[in-house]
Amino acid sequence: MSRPALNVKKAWTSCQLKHDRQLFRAQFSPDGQFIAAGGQDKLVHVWDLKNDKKKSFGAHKTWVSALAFHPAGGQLFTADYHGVVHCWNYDVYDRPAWTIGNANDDNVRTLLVTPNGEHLITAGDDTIIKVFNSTNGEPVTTLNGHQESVFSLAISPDGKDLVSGDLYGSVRQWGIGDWKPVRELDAGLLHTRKENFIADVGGVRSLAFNGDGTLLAAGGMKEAKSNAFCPGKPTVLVFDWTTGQLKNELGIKGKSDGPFNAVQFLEDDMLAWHTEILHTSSELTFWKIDQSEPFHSLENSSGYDLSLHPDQRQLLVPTYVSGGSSGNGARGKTPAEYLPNKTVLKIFSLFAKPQEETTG
Amino acid sequence: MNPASQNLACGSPAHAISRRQMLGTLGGLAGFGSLLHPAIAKQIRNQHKQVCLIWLDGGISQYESWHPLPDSKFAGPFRSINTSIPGISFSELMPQTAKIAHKISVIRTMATKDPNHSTGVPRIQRGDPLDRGVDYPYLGSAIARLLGPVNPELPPYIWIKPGNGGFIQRDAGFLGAQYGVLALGDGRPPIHIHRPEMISAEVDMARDVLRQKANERFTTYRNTSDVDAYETSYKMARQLMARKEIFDDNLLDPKDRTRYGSHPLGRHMLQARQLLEAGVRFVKVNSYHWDTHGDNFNMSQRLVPQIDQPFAALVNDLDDRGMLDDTLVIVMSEFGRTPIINSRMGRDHWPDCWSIALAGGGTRPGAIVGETTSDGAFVDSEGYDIGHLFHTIFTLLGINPQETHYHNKSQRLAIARDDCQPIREVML
Amino acid sequence: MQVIGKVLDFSTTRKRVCNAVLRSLLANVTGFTMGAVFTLRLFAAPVLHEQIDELVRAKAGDVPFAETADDASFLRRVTLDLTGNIPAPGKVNTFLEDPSSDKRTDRIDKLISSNDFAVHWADRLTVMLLERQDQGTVPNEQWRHFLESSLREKPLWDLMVRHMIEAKGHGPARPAMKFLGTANHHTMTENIARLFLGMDLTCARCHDHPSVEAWKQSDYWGLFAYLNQTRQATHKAENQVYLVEDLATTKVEFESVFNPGQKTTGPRLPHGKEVEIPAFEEGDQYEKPAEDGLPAVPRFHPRELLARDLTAADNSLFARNSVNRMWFLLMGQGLFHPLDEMHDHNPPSHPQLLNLLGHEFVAHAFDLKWLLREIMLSETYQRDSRLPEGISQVDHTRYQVSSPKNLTPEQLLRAVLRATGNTRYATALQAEHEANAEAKKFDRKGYFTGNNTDLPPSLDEIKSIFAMTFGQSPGEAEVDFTPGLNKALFLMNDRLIQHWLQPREGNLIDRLQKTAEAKEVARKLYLSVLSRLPEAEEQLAVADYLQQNESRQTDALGDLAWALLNSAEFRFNH
Repeated sequence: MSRPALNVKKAWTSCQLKHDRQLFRAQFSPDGQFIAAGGQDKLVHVWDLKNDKKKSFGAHKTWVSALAFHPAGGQLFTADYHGVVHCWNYDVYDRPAWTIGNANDDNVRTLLVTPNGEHLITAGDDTIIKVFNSTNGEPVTTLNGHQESVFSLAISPDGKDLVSGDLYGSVRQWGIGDWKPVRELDAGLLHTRKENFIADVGGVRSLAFNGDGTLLAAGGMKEAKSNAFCPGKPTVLVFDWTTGQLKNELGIKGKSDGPFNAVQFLEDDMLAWHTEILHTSSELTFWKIDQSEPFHSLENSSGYDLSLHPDQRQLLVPTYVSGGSSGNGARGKTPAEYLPNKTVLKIFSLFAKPQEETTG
Repeated sequence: MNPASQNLACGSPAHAISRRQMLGTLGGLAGFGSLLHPAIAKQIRNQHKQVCLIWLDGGISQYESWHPLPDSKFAGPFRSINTSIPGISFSELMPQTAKIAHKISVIRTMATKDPNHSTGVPRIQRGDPLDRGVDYPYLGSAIARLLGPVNPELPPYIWIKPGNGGFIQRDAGFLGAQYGVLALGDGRPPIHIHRPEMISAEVDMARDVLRQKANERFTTYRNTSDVDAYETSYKMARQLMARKEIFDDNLLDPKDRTRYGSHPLGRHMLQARQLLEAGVRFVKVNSYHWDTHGDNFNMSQRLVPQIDQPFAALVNDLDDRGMLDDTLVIVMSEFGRTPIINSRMGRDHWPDCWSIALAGGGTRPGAIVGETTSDGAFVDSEGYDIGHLFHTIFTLLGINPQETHYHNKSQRLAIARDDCQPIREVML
Repeated sequence: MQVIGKVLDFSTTRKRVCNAVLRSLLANVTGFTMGAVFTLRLFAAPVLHEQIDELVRAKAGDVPFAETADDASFLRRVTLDLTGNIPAPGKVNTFLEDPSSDKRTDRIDKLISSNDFAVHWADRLTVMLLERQDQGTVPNEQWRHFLESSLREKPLWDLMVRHMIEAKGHGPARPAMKFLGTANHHTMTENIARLFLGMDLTCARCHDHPSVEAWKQSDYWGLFAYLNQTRQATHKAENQVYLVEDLATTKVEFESVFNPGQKTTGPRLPHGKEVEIPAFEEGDQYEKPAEDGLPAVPRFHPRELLARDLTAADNSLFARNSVNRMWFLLMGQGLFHPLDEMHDHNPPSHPQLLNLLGHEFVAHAFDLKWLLREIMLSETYQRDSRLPEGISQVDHTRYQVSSPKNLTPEQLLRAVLRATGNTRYATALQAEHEANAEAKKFDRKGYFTGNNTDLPPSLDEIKSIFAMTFGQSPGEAEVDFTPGLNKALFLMNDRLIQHWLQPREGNLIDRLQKTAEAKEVARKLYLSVLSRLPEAEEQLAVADYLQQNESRQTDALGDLAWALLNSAEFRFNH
């Protein structure tokens, strides 16, 4: 099946899946036919895009913090803030196939599966990256070195390098298979601790390689102003993966002041990412890596994840939807009227809308 | 009414004890801010009640601290843990305090009006008084006036805060500048508490004797309260200089420093203990930047332990020293945080239903007061406003808000709101 | 009146008779009009300062009074009161040795006509009126210049206040508009009531004053109605801010929080008649069209009316309040005190005196210098601050004794510099700083936290440090003496004080260390710091101390000076 030409400037919202609670992670399955999402309601939600059916699985006892599909398809791994990891055969059974009860001591913030499907890797606040057998959840090894919470993981397209990013801005490279540390890159710009702060703000919230593994993007925010509102300047640091040198620092033109929660490379080294902002519109921004400014942005409410469809033409963003009670105080709302905020899973199709093509 | 008409007797040089010293306050003119019943005042002054107010500025999130409710639709991602009170849980971010929950009390149904910091903070610390066209004193200044000092050598109201220090008159409101607060910036005493380097202790003493002799001569035939108050200020200054070790955190036991934590709030609360032990009537400790509108969960994870650790240490230490019964410890903010999570993964302001913690000073240990809706968002029993809290505090300190009033020029002013009562469930 | 008409010469006996008649008239007649006073004056001509004494003595009754202050105390007091500094030691000497009988009057006259008077009274009035705030767009230097110019010549208080309220915005009186600040309506209302009418009407915004019957909510809103059209506007081409007025068409509405029911008022002074807001024909309401950022000027300018009527001769509230404040500045206490509590529940200590002062001030066209001079010529002002022999207690409202007054931060700094002989040094420092193009900003906060261990590089900086330490916070009235721990600690331990007590060419310690004899050391020391000669026992004490500290004579001299600087005798204006 041929896919339409990539045309970011003509991107449009092609699908919106509503949910009545806040979801912070959403991913396409490797075959692009399913979407899995999780967040505040502790459930794992799976949409079957062929028939618009939605299933919700319960097992987690707290917020779902991360999820990743097995590259071969059919299996989904979800993690939570108590450090529990479940493996799901999501299309078959609504109970976990198996569970790692204590993948990490504190919590799991990020997890992924190696491209060869063999290993499941998790990381979180205990700073130790854990490697498990993806078939049965048996521990394989641990990777030590980070000094602070690990927020993000990524694997190079050739499957050889694992990269992890933490709160201090330390980006570490590990060899997949030998599980040895290789080098450390400095993304410290994404961490702020001013003298009057009482907590560290920021961190490497997202990592992504480009298609041929020559570039690594590390997303977060710089120059945070406080540890209260935590506003900063959303920033992506682009490293030359071969040399390890910082190649470029990218930002947005808009007003969003939250970190880049997710970055994705598109074809031709275009970069997409999403950020967040308080009580108003945020944006999905696009860069061409050789240009000094973003070339396009789409207005969207705050978004917390970014998943690229295998066809490289669709981006999935779990997007914030106000439940109508935002802001300070109850302001007259009764308990029955005071409801949590919601989500819409938006799919942005990165090409011209079909009817335009036929007429154009 | 003229402030200068004081009957101060005797023209002898020995006349150095002013009425103010007897009353134990610095300066202070009869007629301004005086009590309706001086007899009651004298009675109160004989007690040794002290107060430690810990102010977490910005609004600590009750969901991430005192009232976790992990099954609530508004819950955050953290666990809740059992406390030493059967059936009661706190957030996992408060493990130390959970262990000593049986020594403290928590009010979970504070329901106040003001969702704003700028008006909320001064309003709350003043007791949310009715608008009488005057600036009411902050709680510490009020207590300084109503109870005076415990140790007359030390100011009755000291504030340990990050940033700058100094003598801050504003807290005193209409009570007058002498009831202001001595603020220790980052816990450090006023810079001028140190004798200049080139002056030895002996020389300092010798020259102070010269000064006193000059004053004796001057006051032999002059007797105004202003001159007396001036002499008293020097006496207090010298006393403070002589006691400056109570501000020297280098003298603290390193074990204590570890127990309280080396972060600013930990250090400052340990210093608060030092000041309480030295006999300061009212110590306020401030921590700022709790207003987590953004990234509330990552921030709470790092902030809440910063109060958990030293609060537990302080309560235990006061208990060990036999001081807990007479020392009222209050931990609070200007409001709590919204159940609803906003677009920045934060929580906004929530005066509608929030928590404060109390310990000692006659509060009921282990009392967890107030029922909320099951999701923790709203009050489902009695909601308490700041007026109730102030009634409670004054009553615990032995001051009857019904019978005690301020006099400000021609105004008679209540010390706490007339339309509120003490919160009995939290009192022994 | 007939009795008065017969008395035409000014012999002392007759004067006393006049005064007695005058007193009885004043005692018996209420609601005295200016006209009647004026007539009286022509025929009676008693001198105000003598009348002050008569009334004070009459009120005090049969009690002992302190003696007149000795020459040294007098000189120190008037020099501080008029020029904000202690007298230089040389001047003290000269004055003490001057045999002339009218040296005191001479001295007052000289001081009052000096430039230092203008500078010091600009300080005092600025603190009184602006309360250490810097609001609005008029720079401080211009405001100061306006005040100092008036004070250098013949400062007519009603005109000065009129300029402040009128705030026309052009001409030499433009800086006067600084008083109205950012033109916040409530702030202006409350400040004008407090500072010019002796009425703290803050309570009366929401209801009739709960305890002062005479102060009504309508008084508050009546004043407010003069001011509520005022706002700031910028003339674009000139790039200047003016205080403009919009068109007033309706009365102001207000409602008591205790007694519901809406009321209205037009502009009205307390005790005065309501001004009718004129109705103009459509199209006829303005006398000048809008211009480059400024709105059209309406024909009806209530604020100008306020400026005129508030300061009018027949506004006894203004007159009484004005003289009360000036009396306070010289005497250390108001005839009614607090200064913004002029009402029946807080009666003045000397009602007739207050009336008399008010009337005389008006009669002399609100001449500030005249008033101050008259007060200072009185025995009451010149009384010693020591209790009379055998007396252990006094009621200070009887003025049997002079009350020691607080030194303002500005007075204190000048006095410390002069006492330690460092005035020239400080002036030179300022000049050097101003000439230094690369001067860095001084970390004042760090000075108080200990992070900045440098000495302040300029006199201006030192002034700010003194103001921060010894003055009130911005927005607080600076009236009562407020001793504080931090103030005592500052004078005791601040590095500036230590610095000034190091010998430096020509300063006190330098001169003292070059003085051989202890007796002479004592003399110079006391003349310099306390502006008087030492008693015998004080001389002995100095000699003793120097002897005990033979190996550290210069430092010992510093100790002696430090002790006097930190003493109450130095700290107060007594």
